[in-house]
Amino acid sequence: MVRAPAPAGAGDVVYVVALLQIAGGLLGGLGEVLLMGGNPAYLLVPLAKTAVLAVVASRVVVGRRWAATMMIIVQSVTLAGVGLSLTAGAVPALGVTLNLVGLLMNVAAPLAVIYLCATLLARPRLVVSR
Amino acid sequence: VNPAETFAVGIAPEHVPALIAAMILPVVVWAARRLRAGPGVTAGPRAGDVPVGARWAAWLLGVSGAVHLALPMGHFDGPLLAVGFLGSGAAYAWLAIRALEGRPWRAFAAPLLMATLIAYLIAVTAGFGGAGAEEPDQVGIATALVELAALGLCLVPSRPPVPGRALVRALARTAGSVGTVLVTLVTGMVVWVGSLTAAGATASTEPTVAGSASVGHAGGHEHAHDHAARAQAGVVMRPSADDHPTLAQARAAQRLAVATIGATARFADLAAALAAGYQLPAVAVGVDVHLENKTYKSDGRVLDPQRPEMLVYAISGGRATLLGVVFVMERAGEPGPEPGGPITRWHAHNLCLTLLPPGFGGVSPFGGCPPLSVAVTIPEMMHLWVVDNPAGPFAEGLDKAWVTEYHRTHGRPRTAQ
Repeated sequence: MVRAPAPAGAGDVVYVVALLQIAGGLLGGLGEVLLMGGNPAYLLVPLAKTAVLAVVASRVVVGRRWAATMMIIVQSVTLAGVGLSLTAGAVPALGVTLNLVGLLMNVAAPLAVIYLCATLLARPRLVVSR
Repeated sequence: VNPAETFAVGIAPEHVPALIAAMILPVVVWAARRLRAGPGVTAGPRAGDVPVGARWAAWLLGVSGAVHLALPMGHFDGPLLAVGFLGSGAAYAWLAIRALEGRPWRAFAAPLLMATLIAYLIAVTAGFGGAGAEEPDQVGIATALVELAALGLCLVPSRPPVPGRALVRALARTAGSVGTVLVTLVTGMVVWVGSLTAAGATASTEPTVAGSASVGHAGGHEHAHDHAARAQAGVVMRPSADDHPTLAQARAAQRLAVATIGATARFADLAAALAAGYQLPAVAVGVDVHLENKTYKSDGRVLDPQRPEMLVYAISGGRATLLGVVFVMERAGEPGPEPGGPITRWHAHNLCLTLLPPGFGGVSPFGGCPPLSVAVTIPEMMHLWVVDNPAGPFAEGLDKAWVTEYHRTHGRPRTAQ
């Protein structure tokens, strides 16, 4: 069994969005390192996510279905984080800041990646006779 | 600051036409395609004929083009900049059409994208034509992100590899990937620095309102008055209805400053503050050590000079200097009272709270936090400096060099702590 050709370029878009997310995560990590007195331990999780995103995105590009599924999970976790932030904002002592860039990066980008990965997964499998 | 207000304040008024242009772009494209598809005329290649990557690139380039074409409607920075906006906007539109028609676009788009990104970073750090740096806002940062995505599609060669050149292709792809991440990272860092510099410039250009007490506020000239932390990268501010205080507001601010200076004189010694219930933070050394009084934070009193929620000290070398107070609202989203109008401006912080390891950081200019963290916004607060400083009592911050020198000459020995 082989896969049908992927929609040309969908994986590339997923890959590039993942690169932006990698940079965004590293930027957030660097900001935290600065505020926490230069403690590099705060870069461990951003670097781990960088590795996961880089590996998964590079496999999405070559049409691996498991990678598309994994990417949907990673993006869903990002969306869940937004939901968690909104929930935390309901606590009286805390609030939430909604802005254009945040919605673009934390909501629109994950949704776009999920959509593209779903289109990749929706491709029919082709069965070839030996 | 409610979410709708923070969303609105993040968008600079001069960038609203550009945002509207980007939002109506799909309608314009739809209308253009309908017009082109007259009897006997094709509307160009069908969407399915063009690779997904090229279609996405076309939209990204189109959005950037729409923003640049509309920028002169809000920016009045001289004819040269207007021509630059229009020229780059037209070039983006042309490239978007090329991408949509399946024609080569990467070789032209990459240098244009790099040039506009560099121009934006110059605008938010140094400015053009002596106009001063532009405070980064949500439209500017979002446009930069759109351009970074388009740049990524330019720099990362698309699959599948050309037969016989797989290694070259793989190397080019790796280089393009690393380049895209680095350019994005540098862009974010420069925007962050630009945002912080805008706040710093606001705090350091401080006049005083007429009167015996040195009552000033954040902003000494028109540009600084406009400071609204629109990047919302760690700091969130409410819009100010009027940048110019009335005489009554100036006097009210002066009364508040005088009352606070008088009421907190008893805390000149750090030991007195600790005895009154203020608590030192984990790191209790530096030029802006904040001591919190948990009782005062939940006593139902707001802007009470007798019971400020926090005290700020410079602490080092066995000495402590009381610098000022921080008034803090009890609930997030509740606007603090502004007796001094634009002089007494409050701000909030949007922070990333992480568990692994426990800590916090500021939300980045890209609106993000480190993985496995939650973004929250804490209640509004306002600094009031009780020391006679060049930036005035209501400055957003004090110059560190000035504080260091002041602390050296005025610091009191820490006792009984």
